[in-house]
Amino acid sequence: MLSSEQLPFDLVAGLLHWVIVCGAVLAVVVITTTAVSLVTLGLSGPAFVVQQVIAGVKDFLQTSPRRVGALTVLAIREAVRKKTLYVFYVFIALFLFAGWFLDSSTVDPELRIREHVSFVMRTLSWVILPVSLLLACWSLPDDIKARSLHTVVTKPVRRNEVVFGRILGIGAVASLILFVMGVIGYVWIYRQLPPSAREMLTARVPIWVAPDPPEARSQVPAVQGGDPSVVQSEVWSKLNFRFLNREGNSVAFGVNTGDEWMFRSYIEGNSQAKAIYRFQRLAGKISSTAQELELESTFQVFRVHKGNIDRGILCQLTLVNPATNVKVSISPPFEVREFRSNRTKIPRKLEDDDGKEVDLITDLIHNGELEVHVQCLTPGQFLGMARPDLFIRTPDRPFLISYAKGVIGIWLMMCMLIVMGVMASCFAKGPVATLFTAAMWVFGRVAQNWMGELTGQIELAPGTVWKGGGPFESVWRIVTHMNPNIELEDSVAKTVVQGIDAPIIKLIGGIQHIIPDFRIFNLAEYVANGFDVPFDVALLRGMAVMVGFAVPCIIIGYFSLKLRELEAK
Amino acid sequence: MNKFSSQQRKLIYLGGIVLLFIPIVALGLPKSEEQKGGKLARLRTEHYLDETTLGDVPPEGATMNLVLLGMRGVATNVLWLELIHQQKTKNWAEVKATTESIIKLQPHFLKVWQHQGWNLAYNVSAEWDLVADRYYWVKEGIKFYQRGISQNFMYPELDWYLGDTYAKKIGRADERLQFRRFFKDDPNKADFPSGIDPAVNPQGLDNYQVAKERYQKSIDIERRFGHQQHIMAAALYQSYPARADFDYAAALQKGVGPSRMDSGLRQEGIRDPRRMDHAGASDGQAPGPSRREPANPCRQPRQGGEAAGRDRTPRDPVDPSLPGHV
Repeated sequence: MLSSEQLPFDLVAGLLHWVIVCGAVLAVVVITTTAVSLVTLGLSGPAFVVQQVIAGVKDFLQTSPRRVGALTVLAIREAVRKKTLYVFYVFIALFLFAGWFLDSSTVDPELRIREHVSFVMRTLSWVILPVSLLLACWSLPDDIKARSLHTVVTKPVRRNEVVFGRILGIGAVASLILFVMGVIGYVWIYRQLPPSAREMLTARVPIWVAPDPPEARSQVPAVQGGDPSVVQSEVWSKLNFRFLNREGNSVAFGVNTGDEWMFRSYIEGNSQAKAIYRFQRLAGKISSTAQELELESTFQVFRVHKGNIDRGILCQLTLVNPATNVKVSISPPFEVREFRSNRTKIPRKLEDDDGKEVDLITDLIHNGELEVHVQCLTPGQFLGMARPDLFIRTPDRPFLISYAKGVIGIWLMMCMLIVMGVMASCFAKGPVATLFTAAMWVFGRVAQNWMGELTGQIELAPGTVWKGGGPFESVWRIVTHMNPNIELEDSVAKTVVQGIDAPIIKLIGGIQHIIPDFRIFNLAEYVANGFDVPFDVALLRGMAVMVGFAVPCIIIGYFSLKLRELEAK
Repeated sequence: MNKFSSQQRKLIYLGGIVLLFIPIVALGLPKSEEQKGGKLARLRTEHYLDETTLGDVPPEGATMNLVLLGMRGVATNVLWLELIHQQKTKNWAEVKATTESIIKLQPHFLKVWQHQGWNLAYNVSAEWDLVADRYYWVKEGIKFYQRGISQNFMYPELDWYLGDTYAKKIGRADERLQFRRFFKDDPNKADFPSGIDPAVNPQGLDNYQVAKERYQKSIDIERRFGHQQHIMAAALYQSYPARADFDYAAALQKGVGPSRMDSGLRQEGIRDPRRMDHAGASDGQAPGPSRREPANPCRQPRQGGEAAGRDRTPRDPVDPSLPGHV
């Protein structure tokens, strides 16, 4: 069961966003450095800045892989000399006693797998990330303090090569540690789980419903209960995931049953309410010779009344050809097993609702599109679903593959920390660089969501955004005992408070772009829930963010080291 | 100014250290099975301040507390925040793991045991739709209470709450007919082929009988160790074993006793679930679906067989061998 929307990463849009953010940061840097140079060097200052930039470009273009290699070897030797590899003892000690920390009374194999996989992924992160951070932040300052860097820079070595060498050397040592720990972790999971749970270790490869086109989503009523009649029918047909209400009218969301977590919305049983999933681009993903199709769902149940508690709530799946409207109701309906996977195998040859024989691939899938309508059959009860709760399950991959991808996520996070740590150590001493990098890491993990909600980029729930304004408006509301849901009355105070808050929120929006979102590297949710880590949704995003931040970090590190007075320890 | 040489000074320091060391050893000598230990250790034992006199000391919890170097409070707060988020997002495996971490950090904080036992037995259980799944989480809550008691055997409250869970969650919940049946015939046949989960119902009794035992033990512990309970007025508190008897009698009379479960089901208008496969759709459900066994969270055999479950049975809090037993 996944707890987030599975939205593929748009590389082009991401690149464009990166160019805009880098351009804005560059503009600020150019203006600041020019102003500082004018103050410190007079009119010759800007010329000095241009000269340094040109020299920098030359240095990067003339980077020698051989020298970088030599410096990498030097960094590796240093890291080993600092007894970095002792971290293995910590890791092995953790795993020796891990059984103590994990409650062996958990009988349910699915829960047990989640517990063990989450534990291993978390331990890998907790062991490798602090080590990488400390190595990256203390390597250069220690060399500067011991004056060993002075020997290096007297050789024909460029400063960017020093930065590259540190990053690659520390990265190589940390990667080796992570690889060995990853192998031990895999063996430990396998050995620790009972045979019944081992059989359930897998990497499901789902085909999820694609995200809705933004232009279509923007035209539907955002808030639950909004007037659906104002939306044109062709707009509804563009949505890949939508609902019908109890009267059979299209709506953006189902019923809110009062769950604090509004990730899912619900459809009413024994009514015309439906959830409609439209799968696209199935042509290349499902073989034309496939003899069956497997649907898997993780719907949730909301009982309005007790009903017959010995039976689950009945769910009906109907396959619909979106072009010809041929419908096949999958018989029999199934009882929903909440918080577990409900698998439905659909044979190739089917009988449609009019009694005619139809072929699953040729008659129901049109131009790679297939609609699945979900209905709750039990009167008075509700079924809840979100976009990732229904998917087409293609042949599974070995668990090792998703586990390896999960470890790659940790590796990307580790690389990110090393790059940031080396950059910080180019302009600050060890303790300051450590604090800076650790703060970025913590902030990037815990504050990204909050900043996104405050700036309105993340919805608290479908159609619900942050209320209560920025810091000053919040203080105002606290003092006047005013609920965030109450609109402030028009007054001078409101204008002043919101006028002060607006640039602060903009500033937070800006900060959000220059602090990496470390949460995206955490892929444990996929691995622990038995899913293959999707490349386009998770891995590509992680790689793009890592590279996107590494480039400016290396440039900043280079200029910081170049303009730094090495004698100033 | 200083008459002593460097070497002499060092020797004097060494002598001072050795001198100070003697009272420290005399006062702080740890106790062992053979020896009562130093003065401080004896005082701790005498006044029940020693970890071991409070109950079993989980080695992992003690290790964690040492490793955290006084940051236990911060770590616990972070874990509680995580737990709330995990519960909100219905991530039950993580909820259980985080609960374990919290109690390892605060093994003698009774409110934590009380809250989390209730949380598992009532809140988490109610989130699951199938009755067998709900019963699984009720048992998790019971087992959690039992572990809390084994680590805090001198305090009466946890025993009372455990008895209350046996009596009210199993005996009075909406699912009482099924729960009471499962209590003697566990749905997890793979792990408990005899139908009894030994960690929850070792003697195969009725839930009200077990509840009465726990209520009575709670009262005995209060008398024995002098730690007053803070749940309710003493007279009411002491009436609970008798109340459990009343409830048991009432359940038998209403026909929901284990021996008359089937008639009880009929009396409450519910068909025998074992014959549901052949029944028509009750509840207005569409006819014809193939009946499946209710999903069972415990179908898979447990590693190491039932021994693990038995091993987790808590130490009897009124075991005469325990320290402080009068």
